[in-house]
Amino acid sequence: MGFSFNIQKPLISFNLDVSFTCENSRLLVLIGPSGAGKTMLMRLIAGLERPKTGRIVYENQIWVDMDRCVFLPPQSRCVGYVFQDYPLFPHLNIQRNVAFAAGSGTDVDHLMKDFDIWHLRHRKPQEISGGERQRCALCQTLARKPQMLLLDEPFSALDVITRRTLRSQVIGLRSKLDIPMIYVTHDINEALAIADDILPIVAGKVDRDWIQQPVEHDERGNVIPMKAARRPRLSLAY
Amino acid sequence: MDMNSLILSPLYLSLQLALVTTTTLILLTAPLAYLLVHARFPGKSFFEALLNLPLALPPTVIGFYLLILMGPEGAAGRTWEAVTGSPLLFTFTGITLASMVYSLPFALQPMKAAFEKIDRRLLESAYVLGLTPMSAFVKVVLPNSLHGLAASAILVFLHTLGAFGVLLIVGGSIPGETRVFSIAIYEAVQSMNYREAGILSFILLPVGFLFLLLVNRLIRR
Repeated sequence: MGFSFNIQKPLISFNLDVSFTCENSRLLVLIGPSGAGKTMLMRLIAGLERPKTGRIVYENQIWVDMDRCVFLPPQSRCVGYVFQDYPLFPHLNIQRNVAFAAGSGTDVDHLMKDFDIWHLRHRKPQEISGGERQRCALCQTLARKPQMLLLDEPFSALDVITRRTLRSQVIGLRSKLDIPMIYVTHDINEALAIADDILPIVAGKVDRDWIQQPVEHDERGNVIPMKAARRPRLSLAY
Repeated sequence: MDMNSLILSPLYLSLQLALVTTTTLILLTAPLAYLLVHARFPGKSFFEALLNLPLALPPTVIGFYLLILMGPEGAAGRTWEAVTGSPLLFTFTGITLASMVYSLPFALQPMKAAFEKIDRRLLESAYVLGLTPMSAFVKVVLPNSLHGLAASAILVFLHTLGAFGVLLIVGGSIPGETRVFSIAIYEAVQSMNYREAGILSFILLPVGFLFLLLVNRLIRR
């Protein structure tokens, strides 16, 4: 169960061809150099891009099956997707932004207090700082009660201290929410700090050599994401 | 001539025409402009050029084609008459339709510009948050392009107040029905009644100036 991804899509400079799985309550970190196709991968999961071939399945719900012409639009996937410089709705104040897509029974006020943005509730997005905006974006996404959380370098543009605080909040979420979480970064230290599993992506393919680790396969020949906890001493190989 | 038929009736008619044209045109062109910004379909540039054609043609040319189209032998005129039992030419409805065609590009352009300015990622997050394209248009696009909508509305309003050639050909000069401000001025000049023409013209001067100042402020935002 959980989430399984097996997608091929030709891009301008390489073909994206990646398959992996991610179980509920696991935090999978996609790591790799800029332009490796990590963001494209996230957009494919969110439903913002169409693959050429492949399947995306969550629990027993088929999101994408190109052989059978199945493609669930982003509206029907109930995914939370936060990325760098996430645009909040400029015409709404922070409270309305968070409540924008809130599911029934979501305690928006409580969520905002949890993420320390309650005092900003009457401000507009353009009147708060970058860190506060990203926290607000996370709240907006969580208020919808997503069945999967995608975080694409959500805190890269922030200062070290804010980044550390937000990162620990993300780690906290993993135990609170029983959903698969995928986190994109190109910072190996960040990956090691938060990951349950790490999947290195280089030029559209899973490339274990990028962090000097042997590739492991399961009995069906699929690449097994490595366990970061078991391999604490990873290093970059350029 | 008394004050009513000299000034008030054409003024009232012009304002009524401008108001109806503006409201209808904004409602119709908002989805159209959005479609032009986001949709891809064969013949799109041809279609867009057709919509902007009134900008490139002399008003009398537009008026002539509309006269043919809206006349008893024309497709629009015949259909209208079959449905409602009354003609289109030389009626208020007729000049409203004509001024809508005439002002279409003025409604379209500022709205298109406003929609293009909206961050594409804003729409994408709206979709990911569960909104359909239709509800994203209403809840995200429209509230963030209010200045563009307002600029469109003001331009159409002014352009309709100033319309002359098209309206004269399609509507003639029937007092209380099609004799709008600009036509009243033209007729006053034709009959060498410069005092009347002067009073009528002077009324429009501050109105136009004020509205343009407003457009400038909106565009700068």
